[in-house]
Amino acid sequence: MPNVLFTQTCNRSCPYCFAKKHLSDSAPSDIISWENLIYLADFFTTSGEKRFQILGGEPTLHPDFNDMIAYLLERGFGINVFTNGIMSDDKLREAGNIFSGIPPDRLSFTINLNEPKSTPQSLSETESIKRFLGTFCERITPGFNIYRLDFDISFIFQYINEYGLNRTIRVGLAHPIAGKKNKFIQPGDIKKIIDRFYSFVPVMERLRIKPGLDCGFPLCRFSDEQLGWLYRNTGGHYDFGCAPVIDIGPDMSLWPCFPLSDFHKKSVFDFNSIREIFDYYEDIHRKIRVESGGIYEECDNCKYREEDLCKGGCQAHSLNRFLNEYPVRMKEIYQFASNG
Amino acid sequence: MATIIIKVTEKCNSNCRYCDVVRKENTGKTMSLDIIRLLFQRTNEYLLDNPDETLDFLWHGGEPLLPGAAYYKHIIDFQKNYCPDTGNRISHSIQTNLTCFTEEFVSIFNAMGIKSVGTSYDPEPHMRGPGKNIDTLSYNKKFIRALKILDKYDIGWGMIYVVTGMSLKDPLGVFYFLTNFLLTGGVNFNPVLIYDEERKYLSVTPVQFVEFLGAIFPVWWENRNRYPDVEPFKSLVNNIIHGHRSLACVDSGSCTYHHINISPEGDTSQCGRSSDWKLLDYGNIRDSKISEILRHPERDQLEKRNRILMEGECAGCRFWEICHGGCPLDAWSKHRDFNHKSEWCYAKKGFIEKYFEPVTGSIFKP
Amino acid sequence: MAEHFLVCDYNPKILKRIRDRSVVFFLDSLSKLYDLESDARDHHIHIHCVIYETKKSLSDIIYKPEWSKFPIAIVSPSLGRLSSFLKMASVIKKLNIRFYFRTDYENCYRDIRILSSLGYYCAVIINGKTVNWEELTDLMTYALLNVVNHREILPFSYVTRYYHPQNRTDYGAVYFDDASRYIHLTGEGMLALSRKQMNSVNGILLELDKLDRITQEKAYKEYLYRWQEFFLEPTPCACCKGWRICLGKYADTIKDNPGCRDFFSEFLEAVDLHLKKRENTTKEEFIWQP
Repeated sequence: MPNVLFTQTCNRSCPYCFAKKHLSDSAPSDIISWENLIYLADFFTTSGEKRFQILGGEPTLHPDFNDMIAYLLERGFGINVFTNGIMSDDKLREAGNIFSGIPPDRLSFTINLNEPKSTPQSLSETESIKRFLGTFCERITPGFNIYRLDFDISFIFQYINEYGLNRTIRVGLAHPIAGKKNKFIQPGDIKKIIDRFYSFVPVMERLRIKPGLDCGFPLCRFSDEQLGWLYRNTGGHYDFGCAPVIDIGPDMSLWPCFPLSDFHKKSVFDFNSIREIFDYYEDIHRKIRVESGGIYEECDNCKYREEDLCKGGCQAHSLNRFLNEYPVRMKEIYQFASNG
Repeated sequence: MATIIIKVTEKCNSNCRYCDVVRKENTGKTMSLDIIRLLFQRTNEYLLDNPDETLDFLWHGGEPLLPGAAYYKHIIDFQKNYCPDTGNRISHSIQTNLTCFTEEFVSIFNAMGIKSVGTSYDPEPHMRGPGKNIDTLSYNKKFIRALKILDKYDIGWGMIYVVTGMSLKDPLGVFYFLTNFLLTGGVNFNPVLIYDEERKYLSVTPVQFVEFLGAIFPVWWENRNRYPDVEPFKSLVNNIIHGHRSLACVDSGSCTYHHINISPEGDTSQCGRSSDWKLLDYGNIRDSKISEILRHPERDQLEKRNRILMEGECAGCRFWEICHGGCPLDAWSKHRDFNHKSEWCYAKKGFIEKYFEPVTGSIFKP
Repeated sequence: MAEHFLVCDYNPKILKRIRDRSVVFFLDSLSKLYDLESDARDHHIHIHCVIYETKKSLSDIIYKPEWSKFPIAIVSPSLGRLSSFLKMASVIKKLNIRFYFRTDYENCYRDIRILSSLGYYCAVIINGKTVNWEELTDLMTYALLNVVNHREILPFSYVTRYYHPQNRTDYGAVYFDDASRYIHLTGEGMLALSRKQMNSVNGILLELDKLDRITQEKAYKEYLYRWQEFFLEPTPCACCKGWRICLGKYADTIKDNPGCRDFFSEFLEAVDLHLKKRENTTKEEFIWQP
């Protein structure tokens, strides 16, 4: 399902943020209008889509955030909001009141938590996040973005226990924004990241906390033991994928995902259904894959990739390779490099 | 069926800018009741002799309602008295500006079987109206008052709109005005016919007329369910797309033995213009029977014209079947000779080729 | 012709004079609904609709389940907080209610779209001076051509209901401003053809007891033919493609706020398109209709 950006502004500035580039280009007033939201609700309905993923910037900054969520719920959609949890007291209190009777499977939050030591935040921000956790408790899935090798997620275990959060941690890798500078994990370090994450497994097992790995992890960097643990904890549903997720901006512009937000930007109005949008971007993904199997040289001849068990990591890495090493290998990329 | 155009009067209460009747030297004559009585006697005689025939009386002027309701009551009486067994084969229609129409005429129209009247209207100020200054507003107020009566008694109406030089600046504006006024359309666009230099600014060329129609036609075609009765579009669709041949007198090539125009003094001719121009004189109704008038040898020249054109100027023209060289009087006005095609030839051919066929995607095949 | 509806302020003094009539009542407070109900019952009055115009937002009104007995029109400046409004959704959804918004308030287009998409009946009151024709065009397009189900928005759906391509469609009835259906009544028992006329000396036509003769009145007949006035001279309205829907309602404001021409032309197209789409389906009417 596509992500819908309620706003492009954010009240934080995380070093790894792959939304960063996009946000810095946007005007602070760039928020989704009611007309566009209603259009999207209709568009989702006719496309047979029953859920909204709300994204930002920080989506709760939208002045009508609560009303818009109430609207989508009334339209019968299930909703997941990606947030940093920093919300004004009044708005949070109101949200708590409005949404208290809504079942968690219809309204949930994925809160992106930063490690206090490596990514310091103010006391008031921490307090605000805690109030958010205390308000929405079991509706919240904690999320963590890895952009350093020495990361530590144990603070999240505390939050899970203290606030009764969903016992799955959504872990994402910081990916490069193609052609731009941001902090991200180099392909060569992904194995180290996986091993470090796996070092938290004993505690996670003890606390019955499950992993939820985000896109862009290559299968080959996991050991058999690690894969076995993943299998046992995800029911075998884990996908080593990288596919267009589709982000829809407040102005109805479209891009395949944040790291690729400068590529093949289109508008929702160019399409008749969500399926058409996915078909369009999947086709582009396929073309890039023809040029490069994945983030490692060995991806080109990898049997897991050939059997479609792995996509070869995040495509933003592949694009970076084209941009830096082979600027004329593909027409679309060439155009981007020339313009960019 | 033959049509008898009865010029009841040459008087008119409107000084329409483009009209010839009010500018004629003999303006002012009204048909005497004696002539009308005679007309019905002649009609009865003709219909008794021709039991399969019918006649259509088109009451025309000048302004045909000017003689008043009492005049028309006599007409009804004449038909009753002189056509007791043939009256059911006489139909009546009328072309009026409606400004003298009152409730008194309603029962008269009912008795004559007139269910719809032909009229005309113009959005352009000072185009129609009484007096030297052509007082449009007073004309229009009277016209609209008449429409309320027509509406009340469920009598229909249709308009002839005369396309003049003043119409060319906003064809669609004219079209919307007329079709907003009379919602189903009910309008027939005819080009103005101006024969003097003084009013040259009112005249339109065949090319201008084509462009006028061409500006309207795509809109009409797209929305013809809204305004179905717009001529000449509707007829062209019937003739070209549906293959239903139904042609106006100017295009039919068969007016020769089917039209009589009677002037207020009883002189007969082919039509109003031939009468005005003293052409095609078929004699006076006092002296001739209707059958004699319809078979008058002067008419044969019109019949010959068909053959001459088909083998001459119009030879090979794919539109012959729906045009027949157009109106012979149009030909005469330019060449002083009937045996030429109408000067409005391009107005039909050009419109079909440039607009009708491309817009509808239907090509006329003879 | 069907009997006219009377339109008047709720005034107990006049009720006995409008026995057996169908009436639209203006109320200054919805708390008076209960009195109105018993009065109407006592005097055999059929309540066609109750109109309540308020300065409050819709979300600030406390809706009562008992109102379900009445066809209600609420004229409000705004929706207010949607989340607060939705808290009362279970009650509101059972009411026979339509929300009217004036184009005097910029939020009206958005509020109507929100409510309509959530299943609430709405109407927009188009003031030629204040209307944003582009926004209204978007709303009209949404109302008539959007593929996802939403509740009807007046006057757009009213026009589609009564539209015939070869006829005029007057949507004045949406605002009870159509003397062929609604006759207005003053507190003193005098009749007028519109609420506006009711307030002018020359606007009063007859006394209430002569209501059944109103169709014979010259002013009434002229009212029915008032559209013809546009054709006395070549007015911009008469030459407009959309006239057969607008009927010159915005002739006074066209100079200062042009845009009606484009709007009504598009409206006409949209109506045709809408009807083509709906040719084989009929839509059920769940609540009162003007």
